[in-house]
Amino acid sequence: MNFLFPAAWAWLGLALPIIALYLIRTRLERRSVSTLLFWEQIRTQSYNSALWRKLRRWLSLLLQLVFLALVTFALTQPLAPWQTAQPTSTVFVLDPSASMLAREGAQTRWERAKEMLDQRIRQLRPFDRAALLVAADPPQVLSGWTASRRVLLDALNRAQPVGEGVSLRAALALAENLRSTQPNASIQLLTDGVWRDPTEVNGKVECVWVGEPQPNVGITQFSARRPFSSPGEVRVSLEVVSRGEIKMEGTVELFRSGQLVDVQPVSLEPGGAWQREWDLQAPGAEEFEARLAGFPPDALSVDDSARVKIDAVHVVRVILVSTPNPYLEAALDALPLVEWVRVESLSGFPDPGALYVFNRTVPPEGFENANALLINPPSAGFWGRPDGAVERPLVSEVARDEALMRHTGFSNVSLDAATKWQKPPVAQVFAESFGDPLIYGQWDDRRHWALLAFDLEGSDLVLRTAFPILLGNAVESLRPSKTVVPSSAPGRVESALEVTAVGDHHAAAPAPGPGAWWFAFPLWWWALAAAGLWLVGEWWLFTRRITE
Amino acid sequence: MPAVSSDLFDSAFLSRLERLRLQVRRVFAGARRAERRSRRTGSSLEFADYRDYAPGDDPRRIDWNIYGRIGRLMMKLTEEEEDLRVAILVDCSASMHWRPADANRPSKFDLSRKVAAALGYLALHGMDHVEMWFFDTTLRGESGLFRGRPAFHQILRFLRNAPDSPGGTRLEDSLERFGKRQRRRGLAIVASDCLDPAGYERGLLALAGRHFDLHLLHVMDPAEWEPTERGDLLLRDCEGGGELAVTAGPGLLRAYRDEVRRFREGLRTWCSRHQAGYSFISTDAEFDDIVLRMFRREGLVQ
Repeated sequence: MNFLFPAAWAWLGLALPIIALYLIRTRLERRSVSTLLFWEQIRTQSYNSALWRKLRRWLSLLLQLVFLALVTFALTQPLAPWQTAQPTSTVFVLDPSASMLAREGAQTRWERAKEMLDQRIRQLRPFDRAALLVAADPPQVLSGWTASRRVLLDALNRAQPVGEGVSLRAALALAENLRSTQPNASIQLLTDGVWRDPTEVNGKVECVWVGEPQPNVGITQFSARRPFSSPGEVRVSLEVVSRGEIKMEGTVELFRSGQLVDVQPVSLEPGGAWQREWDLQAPGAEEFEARLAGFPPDALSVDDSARVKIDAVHVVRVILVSTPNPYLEAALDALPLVEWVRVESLSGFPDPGALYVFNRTVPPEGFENANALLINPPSAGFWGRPDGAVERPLVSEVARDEALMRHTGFSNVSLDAATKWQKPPVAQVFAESFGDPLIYGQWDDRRHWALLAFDLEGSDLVLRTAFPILLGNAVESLRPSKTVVPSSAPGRVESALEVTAVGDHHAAAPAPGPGAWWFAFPLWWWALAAAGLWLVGEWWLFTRRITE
Repeated sequence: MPAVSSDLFDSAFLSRLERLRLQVRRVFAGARRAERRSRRTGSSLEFADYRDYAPGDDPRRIDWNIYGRIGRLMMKLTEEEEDLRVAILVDCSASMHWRPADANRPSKFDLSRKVAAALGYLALHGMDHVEMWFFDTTLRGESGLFRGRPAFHQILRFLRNAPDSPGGTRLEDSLERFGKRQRRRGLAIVASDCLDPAGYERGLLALAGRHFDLHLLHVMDPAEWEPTERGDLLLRDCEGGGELAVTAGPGLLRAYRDEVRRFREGLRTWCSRHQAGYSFISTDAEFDDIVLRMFRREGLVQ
């Protein structure tokens, strides 16, 4: 055993005056009384024997000396062998996924994990270090490396489950970076083992398992979308899965802005799924909610209901800058939820939500950032400059993955003539004729403009379905709402509470240090506590005249 | 000796005393006419009995109304009111002089003398004969017989001149000696702490057995039944000089208190069984309360 302050042993010298004082105090105090009659009657009481008085005096002295020895021992700041062992560094990673909210008894898995981590933090020795992460996406660093248990416990109190947006891979990568900065460091992941991608957890991670497999019925998918062909409608999709060993029966209730619109009986075999779609007229903004009812109580409550909101349909304004053109006008008429107007010329400032179709005209000054579809412009501009004509133009390549070109078929489109354009560097080619761009532009989140290098009248594009689809793609990409709005259902893996089989699931990783909680306290602390208790006991004996 | 100074008996207190009189449970024969019932029939106005006329009787005491109704000469007897002999014995042993060093209350002896003076005044006021004695291991001092209120100053003088050589307590010797010397029975008031190593029974029985109307004033200091000293103590008996080492802890003190309580209960029971009066007097009690309330409550005065 080592001592940080061995000079404190000198305090044992106080034993000499204590012994001297006890020797001085051996004389009895004389008292005169009116009679000894009553004292004589009770002299058989045990404390009155001379032997007891001697023992009592020595016992009292012994108590005092032991107290002095304990205090002196504490002052020397002793270090036990286990305290001088190698310090450890641990990165604790909490799995905040929705499945951690599964309730098992009085606690959720998340609460149990926090309790286990709280215990592990309290077991850290003064020279052990730890960091605390939550595997959210992006990962949350609640505490960097610290030896302060108070800081770690405060950080742990701030930890919250996130439900969705969990990334074990990112969190463990960050934990690995932290681990590499400390010698002898390890990573401990507190999780229930319900992982979407088991490959995210590599072998370097010690898993502290929380929870047991539980039966559960939950909504794994709930979404709403407006069909492209009929934006005024909403298609609501629902999926319910069951994980358990018995058949589950109940109902699914669908609410629309708080009003019950449908109730469907559901019968689920173990491991089975139930799916359903509803087509509902809903041009305005709506909130849909699905609830499970009548099923036996299960572990996870967050997947017993799901909500999804969908915005109202958005009418896109199209300004056609062109001479009268029946093809364009007919195509715009055919597009749903489009309000168009034709003008011969433009002035003023552009409407940022509108689509400008310039047919053989050029955007005026100030329209550089407008959403624009330029059809064979007669002169150069931010869209490039003409460089002759394309010889025997033929659509050879189409970028079908681009939003503007999706579902368009250009394979049999014939073009009489096309202008060869020198495109600006930022522009992307959507369709080309053997290296010469036929349709190009910039159609992404930053800007929306595209150029058609040919006249509509000089091709049969206007007679093909590709033409309205191209216009439709341009219009749809300007709508602010997404086509499909998913809900925040936990997901199929989480609702099934499926445990990923990695190693021994129930072999919890050992806590750092020797293991027992009392080892977390330094030895001097225990010596001082023992001295305090000793003093209380001595005082108790003194007040009852058992000692003096 | 301020404890028995006549200054303490102010006129208001004395006037309240004068409304009281000593009460006895028995009727004794007196020597002189006074204000107390006696066994004799005599010349008072208190009717006692009738008896047949006998020659030589005083014809003034024939009840002529009876003669008119039944035709027989009947003598109307009235009680003779005589004096009572009141003996007050005050324990002057060393234990009666003891008191805690830090206490500012009177000693048991001082309080007993004051009580004796008050009772003596009551007896004098009732035209009774009063005598006072000191005793410890034996009878120490005798005051002689007093009668009439002017003798109160002589009583005070006697009490003030108490013997100053306190010794132990021997109730049996002292009280038996007193009993044997008394030709007339009467009220015997004993003021003592009864701390006789030989026991109190034989001493008190020496009076009760001789048909004295015994009343015991048991005087104790609070420190005697509720000691507060703790720790290792060498106790020294102020009478015998014996010593005893004790460790006064809570348990021992509790046993001590129980022992004292048993002693007091024993005294009370003994007095009750022998038709003797018993009054427990604590030295921290108010003197007025003792004389004007406690004695009245316990039948010593009325």
